[in-house]
Amino acid sequence: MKPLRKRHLQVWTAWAILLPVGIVLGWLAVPYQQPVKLLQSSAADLLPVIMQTKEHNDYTVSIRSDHKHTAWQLEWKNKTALTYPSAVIYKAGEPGNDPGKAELIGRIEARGDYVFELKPGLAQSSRLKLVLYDFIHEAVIDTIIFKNPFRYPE
Amino acid sequence: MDNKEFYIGWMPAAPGGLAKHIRKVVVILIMLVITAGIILALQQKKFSTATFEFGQLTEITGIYQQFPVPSIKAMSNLDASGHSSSLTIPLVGYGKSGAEGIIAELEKEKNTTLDKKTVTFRGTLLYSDGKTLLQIDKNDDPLTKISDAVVNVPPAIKELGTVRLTGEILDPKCYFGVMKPGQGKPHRDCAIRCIAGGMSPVFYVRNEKGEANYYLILDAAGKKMNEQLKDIIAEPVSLRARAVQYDDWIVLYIDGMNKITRTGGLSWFKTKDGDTYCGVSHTINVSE
Amino acid sequence: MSASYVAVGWNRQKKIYDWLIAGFCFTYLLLFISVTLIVNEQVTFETLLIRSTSTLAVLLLHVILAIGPLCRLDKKFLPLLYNRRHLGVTMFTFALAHGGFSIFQFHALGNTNPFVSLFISNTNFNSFAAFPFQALGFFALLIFFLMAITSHDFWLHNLSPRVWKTLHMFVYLAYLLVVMHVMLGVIQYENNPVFVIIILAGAVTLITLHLLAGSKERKLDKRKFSLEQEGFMYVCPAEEIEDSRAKIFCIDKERIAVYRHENKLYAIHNVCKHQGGPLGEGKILDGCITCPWHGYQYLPHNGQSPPPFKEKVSTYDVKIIDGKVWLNPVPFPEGTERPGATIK
Ligand code: HEM
Ligand code: FES
Repeated sequence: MKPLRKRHLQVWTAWAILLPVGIVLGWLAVPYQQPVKLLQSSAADLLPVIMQTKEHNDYTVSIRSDHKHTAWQLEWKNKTALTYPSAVIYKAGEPGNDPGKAELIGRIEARGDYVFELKPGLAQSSRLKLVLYDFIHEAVIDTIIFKNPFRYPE
Repeated sequence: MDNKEFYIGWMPAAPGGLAKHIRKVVVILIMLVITAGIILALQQKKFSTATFEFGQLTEITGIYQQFPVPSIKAMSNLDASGHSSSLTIPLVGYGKSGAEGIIAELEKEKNTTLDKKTVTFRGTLLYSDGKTLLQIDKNDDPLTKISDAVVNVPPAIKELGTVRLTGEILDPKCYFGVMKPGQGKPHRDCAIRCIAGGMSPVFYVRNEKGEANYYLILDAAGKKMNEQLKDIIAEPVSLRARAVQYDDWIVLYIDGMNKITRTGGLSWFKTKDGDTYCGVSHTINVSE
Repeated sequence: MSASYVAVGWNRQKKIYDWLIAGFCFTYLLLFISVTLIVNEQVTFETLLIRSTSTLAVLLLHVILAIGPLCRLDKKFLPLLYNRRHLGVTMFTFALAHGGFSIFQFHALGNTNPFVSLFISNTNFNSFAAFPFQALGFFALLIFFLMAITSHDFWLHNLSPRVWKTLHMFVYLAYLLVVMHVMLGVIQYENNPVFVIIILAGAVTLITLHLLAGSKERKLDKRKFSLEQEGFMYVCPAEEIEDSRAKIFCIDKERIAVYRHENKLYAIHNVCKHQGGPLGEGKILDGCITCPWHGYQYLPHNGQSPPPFKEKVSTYDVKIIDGKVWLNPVPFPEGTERPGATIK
């Protein structure tokens, strides 16, 4: 039995080197994926004035304008990954949420920032109701209401 | 241990002093088990919110497109002035197979071609982060409707120039829904199997905020290059390619495997060079 | 020891042991699964199953590998050794659940046989970072499997304890394979340093215990006996050997246990016929030398197991001159009766 005992000691002497070396090398070998700039519309053409903002866990939605309030934008920041197969934004034709009576603003996809032009003709409206709609499941995901969206809040 | 105490397993009970010691050991082991269970569970990465609608069939109507990958282009509801938005849904097969096999079967069965026709597919949706796929399975009797005529609504095509990107080649079925984690080394073998099975490979790129872009991969001639990709799946690679946007997917045309290089491995010794980037949509830097 | 084999010879101790194993496993799985579900509710059932069983198996593996050296360092741990094989089979069962389910999850429903896919999918055998880690897990599982199926005493006897023990030393290789399976696998995704530190801490603990136990054994084996007289070596003063206990001496590479029983000294070969347990660390119970590992018994004066058992070990001659113990390292054939030496 003695050779067996000796073998145990030999094995563990070898393991005392191999295990730590293997673990440390394995750790160093963890590959790293370099972050890159993404292919998305740049923030450069954002209008400078933020009129109103609505915060949600998953997104931040703002109405933007220029200094003279002649042009309008809807800025949509997707903070988390969408959990719906599709998501399009409509400006609702009051009072319902029916897309057929609404105006399509655009579709949002991956996390990141989206900017949509809003028509200047809206400037008079006292209420802007946005509907986030999943047309695959034919279901309203969320509705967002801005009061007096095209005026500075008093 | 005093001389009188001696343990043998076949005795009905261990002697008092020994039993006390063993009780201590058992308490230590219980604490070890509890801390290990809690720490290991807590330290895992967050799993993605990707969804696979397992067991739930959905009918999707749209235009079937053979190119760039078998997919169905679904339109959103028309708005008051008749506008709509589109969503291109790549198709995947059952298990670890792409859609080509089952599409070929369906075409043979119906004795027609599907390309550019309006079809209704019944299948299982999977989606995450703005991308949606549909699994079509023979057992679900997937093709419910097909138009006779070809619809001529070509995709909106935009040349984006040559780009240099660093990212990871994924199998989209697992990443966008079926498995968590559906990327990286633990998932590598599965991704290899899926892509070898004809699943359209997707190139995943992220920025420092964790936001991502997803691209489709074809060779320079627009053919699948699944077989060649086998050895560089699910690890960081850099590639150079011609990028062309087709509606809501961008295709990377890669002119041969020498345009793809591994970047992973012993990364801690590497400097983080900032030049592996891709330009922004309007002004693509042709980094040749 | 038994003349015929039963699947498991149950007794109260084994039952307590097994209930404890079951309790530990249940507690671990319950905690891992429920904590993951609470803080990470997006987890899939498959991943939960794969990860909870694999981590439990590795936890058990550490305990299994620690028991041996702990017993050599302190006999108080011996009750843990008695039923270690049940712990081993339990560990294998969880590792099998993990491996089997991984093979299904990652290789089934594809264009190749899942077991072929295991070896032809990732073929980066020449790269360290991209190495096919699942193959490492597979070979570890294969070793655990061979150990689990040969764990019964039936195999021990048929393979001879020597071969059996050698086979079971492959568990160290399996442990190394598992460590690298984790380091080159999931750690490349779950790259949290906490995991690496846990793995490293486990390895360092095991290495330390084994090296400590090994050097303790070595000291015993290295002891030199220089006084020789007519083939007898002087080993120790007679009063150093307690009643019903023994001291072990290693002469000419063989370990001999010198037992004191009813004011007489008897010497037998130290190696138990069952699994090579150290008979000299045992005790005399009901007139029989009893092995500390699993309780096989031998009569001090002839090295034979009491009937109906048939095990026999070699015996040696021992004598006492002026209160000093002299031992003759030439063995008598197994089971030879020797008179022993009377203590004045
Ligand atoms: C055929 C054999 C095996 C296969 C195919 C296999 C496969 C895998 C895979 C794919 C993973 C990554 C899973 C994930 O995404 O989390 C993994 C992880 C792991 N494996 Fe194995 N494995 C095998 C055997 C073993 C054995 C025998 C052990 C040790 C007892 C083991 C211990 C682990 C551990 C601790 C992890 C990390 C935790 C986890 O991710 O589950 N594996 N294995
Ligand atoms: S080794 Fe098992 S009883 Fe001695």
